[in-house]
Amino acid sequence: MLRRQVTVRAAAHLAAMAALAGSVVLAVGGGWSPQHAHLDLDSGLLVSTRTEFRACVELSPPVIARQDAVLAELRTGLDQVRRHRDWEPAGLGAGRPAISVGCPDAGLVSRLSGGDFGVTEEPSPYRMWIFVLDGQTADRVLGAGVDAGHAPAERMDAGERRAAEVSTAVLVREGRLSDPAFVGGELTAAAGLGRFPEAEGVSGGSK
Amino acid sequence: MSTKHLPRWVPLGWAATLLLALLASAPPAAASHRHTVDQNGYILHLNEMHYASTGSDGAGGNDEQYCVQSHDTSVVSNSSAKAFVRETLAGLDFNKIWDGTGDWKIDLWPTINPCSSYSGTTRASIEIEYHYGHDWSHIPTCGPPYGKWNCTEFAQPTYNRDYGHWDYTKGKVYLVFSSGGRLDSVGRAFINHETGHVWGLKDPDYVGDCRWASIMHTDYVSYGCTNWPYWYPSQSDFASVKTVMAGG
Repeated sequence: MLRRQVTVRAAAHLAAMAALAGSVVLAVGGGWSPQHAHLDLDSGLLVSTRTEFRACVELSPPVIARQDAVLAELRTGLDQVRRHRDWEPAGLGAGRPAISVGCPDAGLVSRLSGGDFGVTEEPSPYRMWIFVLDGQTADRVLGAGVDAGHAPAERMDAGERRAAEVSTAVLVREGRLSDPAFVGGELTAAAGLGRFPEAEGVSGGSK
Repeated sequence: MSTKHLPRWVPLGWAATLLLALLASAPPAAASHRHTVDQNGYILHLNEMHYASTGSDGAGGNDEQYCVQSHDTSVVSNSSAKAFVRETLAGLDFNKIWDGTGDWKIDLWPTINPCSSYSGTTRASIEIEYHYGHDWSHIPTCGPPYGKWNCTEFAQPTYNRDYGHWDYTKGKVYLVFSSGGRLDSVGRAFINHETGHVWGLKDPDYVGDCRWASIMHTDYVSYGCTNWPYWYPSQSDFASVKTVMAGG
């Protein structure tokens, strides 16, 4: 009888140990399921669920008639960015960038001035969102005489009340897609290679 | 063995299980630098902090320009907010300010005007923005389910060839008038805390994680710690930031 009681107590201890060990494993591993997206700074794709560099393209209505030509220009431009010496070390993918027509949030451009795009738990597969703007829209969004700009397209929660951009929107005026200043400037910088054009003289030289 | 006693493997099993729990809850081995590597294994930080500009008579290409914006000037004017941030970051005793850290790799320069006065390319090139407001709950990181919080965002990811890792080119700090937006020691503590995030510092791993004296758990921002009752960064914080600068 006594031996049986001890066996039952030992089994209870074993179950408690297993429960504690299991909860520790879950607590440590929680949130790291391969299916669940998380910020991934080991790769230039920035999100754990992304496997290749993908760009989506949104065209202003007046530009849609030239869609094939625009896509060809963008493909040429992205191929040039891919030849950047840091493309592979930065983990931007081994294959040619994939381009899809239509971005998950076509209305993003109209909300840019608000500066708040929220934080998503499940970012899109698109590392880069490209908005090709007709002249009138470009004047309104970018400003007269400005050919290109950029903004965060998607951000993820990085914990501790911090958020981090994981997708970048590129805004470009139609007709400037093949401009070396755009391809080597905004388009390259939006992939995270090199710097965006630097504006000087806003500090006034005073600490 | 007496039948009244448990088998010997039971205490051994508990010892092993508790050791597992202890090891699993300890900071990762990579977190040898204080308050830097976060729960995801990363150190989110600003790109320019790795580099210093030559000359000191104005903002250079590797310096950190910052703008300040009040979203309710009836509470705090733009000029008051800018003056307060400027003094907190760069205008007090050298051992209490971020400016000049790491042989001037951190070299902070305020913009002439508030953030919103700049647009497009110009604003994108300003490395840090400080925003004063009542409530940032429309920004999910700052708002629900927590309520009114101060918070930080990173934008413009960029690959750093020199260190072989990803940085961010821009940081945005959001301060609420009820705490981080106050023009007193509480406000200074939160400015330094959120700016610490911009330099790659992280919050404690848990409430009561007070292992090092740090602005990241100063009494002003709580976390259950009492070993740093000041509003300015500790020497441990400066050392941690220098480690991040060196690519650590």
